[in-house]
Amino acid sequence: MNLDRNVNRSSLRVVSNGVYYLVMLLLAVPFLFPTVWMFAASLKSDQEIFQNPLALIPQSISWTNFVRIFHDYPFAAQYFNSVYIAIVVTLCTLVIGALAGYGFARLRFPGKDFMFILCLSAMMLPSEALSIPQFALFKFLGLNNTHIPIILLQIFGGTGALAVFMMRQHFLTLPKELDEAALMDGLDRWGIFWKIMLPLARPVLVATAIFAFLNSWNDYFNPLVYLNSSEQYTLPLGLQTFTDPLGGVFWNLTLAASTLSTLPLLLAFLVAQRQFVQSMVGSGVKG
Amino acid sequence: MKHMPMKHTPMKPLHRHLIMLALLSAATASAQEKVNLRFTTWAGGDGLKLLQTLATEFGKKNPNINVEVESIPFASYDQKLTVQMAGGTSPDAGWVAERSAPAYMASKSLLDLSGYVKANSNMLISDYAPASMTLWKQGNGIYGLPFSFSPVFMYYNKDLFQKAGIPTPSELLAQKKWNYAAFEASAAAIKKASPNAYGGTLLRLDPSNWAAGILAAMYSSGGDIFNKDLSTCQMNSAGTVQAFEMMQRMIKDGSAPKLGEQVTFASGNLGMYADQVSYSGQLSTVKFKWDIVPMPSGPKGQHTLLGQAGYAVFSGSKHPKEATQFVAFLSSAAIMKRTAQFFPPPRRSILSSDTYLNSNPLIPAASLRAAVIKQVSGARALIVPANWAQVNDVVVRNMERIFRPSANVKDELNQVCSEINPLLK
Repeated sequence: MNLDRNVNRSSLRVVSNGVYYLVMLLLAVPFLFPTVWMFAASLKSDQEIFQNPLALIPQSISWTNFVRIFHDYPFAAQYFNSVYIAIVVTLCTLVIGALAGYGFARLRFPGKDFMFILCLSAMMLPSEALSIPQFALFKFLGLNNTHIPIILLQIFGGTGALAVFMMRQHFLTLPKELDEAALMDGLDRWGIFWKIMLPLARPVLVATAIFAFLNSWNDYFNPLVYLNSSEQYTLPLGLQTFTDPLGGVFWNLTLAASTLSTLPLLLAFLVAQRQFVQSMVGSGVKG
Repeated sequence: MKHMPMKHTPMKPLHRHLIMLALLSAATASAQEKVNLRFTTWAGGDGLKLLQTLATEFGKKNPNINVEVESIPFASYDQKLTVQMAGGTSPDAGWVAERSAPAYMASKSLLDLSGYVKANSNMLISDYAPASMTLWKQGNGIYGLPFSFSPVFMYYNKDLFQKAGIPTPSELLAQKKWNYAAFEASAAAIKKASPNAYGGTLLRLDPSNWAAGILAAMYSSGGDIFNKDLSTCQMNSAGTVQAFEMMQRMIKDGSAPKLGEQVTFASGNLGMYADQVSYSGQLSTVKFKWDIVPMPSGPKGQHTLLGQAGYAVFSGSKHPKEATQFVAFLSSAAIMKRTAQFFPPPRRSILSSDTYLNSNPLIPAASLRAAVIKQVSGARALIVPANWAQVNDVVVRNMERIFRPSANVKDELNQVCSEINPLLK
């Protein structure tokens, strides 16, 4: 009897697992399909893309779209611009976010709350309200048509403010006793930050890194306004320049370029996925 | 001789330095005099390359001027220019789309070129087709020089017509039977013969560009978007309703693609499609046979929309003289002959020349003559109010509702007008 019951139970588990995976697989389709389609379409000619829009397998695989975007357009330069800007933005956001977040969470200084609200307001103000004064400011500094405004506006704009906010909230959740014990053991403020707090903040750092990278990678408005030459463009702008003489879109080239521009994001996410999930779970547990 | 002539006096080191300094500053002054112009466009591909070549040629003729051609995505073109103008770094000259011209003119962002045009008889402004200038003239001022004068006409897929066994639009045109009833009937016949294809459409993939094709049908039925002085909405006039009802019927019976359905003429799955000459660039490698005809005629005659774009000098330019010089260079007959391969030229001398008619490797001269040149007289430029973007948005938002199979088109368009009218006050 017991044996029978066990067999039943394990076969039940197999069935329920099977159903579970099947449902998950079906649910994944709507998320995966556009990406897979984009890749498939980037191997087709412009006409074939619209012949049977849902067909995944190209009639004949051709890599010419990929060759053309590098050969006929400054796509390589734009790619490099996006990569280096995103890396600089991510690193600077992490440094500033962690330091400022720790300061707001642990240090006592006059006007702390006011300054924190001021910092948060960078997150709340709509970019439309700021764009013209910011533009005038960077013009005054002679930095238009360089990458500097694009980098600075991310680090000290909404992205940076959100990083400060996230780091502060995280440091607040860590017990003060940790700091005190470390002080007793002879560490100074810098030592506490560097040796105790930062390692504990790893999941939040990873999450911050991912969204800083994402925000910079997807930034469209600032590059649009500040950059004038195609060689200076970043990818979101570059993706819109595969057009005919009157602006009609060459979809095959645009999709090939889009495929390449999603790769670093996929890579960054795959590498950081475990940390990212951890930080999400972590923030849930603490609530 | 008591005093020695100056030239024999050995130069003192101080003098030498001063003269060197003067020479040096003169040299830097002349280097600084080199004027850098920014010219903006939304052209891509070969069109952009041609503009860059022309800028280089201009620079060789005028060594003190250097022109940078900047390509900006069309969808964000006005947004970028507006911020840059407000921020004090306006480009010097560039393309302006017909739909944005009134807004730029209202905000005094375009420079009046009439002084230059009148002073330079070689500009030959009388050569421009009068209809091409209406948009750019205000009072005595000329705020832009059109480079493209492009009527919307009908592309049709010969193979799909052959499969359906019905006369082609060209044949119907020859028999004077090419009207909207024939367009609708042909589309239905194509759908019946090729269930995987669509018969035809007057709409575009991009919903914000809805007016491009359907305006021709509206004009030909006596409809319009606004009245003459742009003070009242005419989207609910009988002619407009008729045109929209036709598209609703065609979408309902499946002979036209539904809104948002990604079907292009280039894919070979669309029998008839309304667009301009520049679209032919996307048809260079298609495997089916195609041709072009004028838009069909309607109860109020045969009309179409005249697409336009012009060169303008922005009033924020720090070098208006040089910028005007560059725009005049681009507008000259010799250069317009070269840009004509992409953009039908508004200069009549070029438009009717054999060189132009034979310039498009994809479209035979006879078809180009019928669809482009003969249509120009009945074509209208779209004149819009300065807040066109807002008005257009009202129509785009209501598109889904207007074309629902069960919708009462007249009621829906009344609703559209009740939203547009307050914007026109």
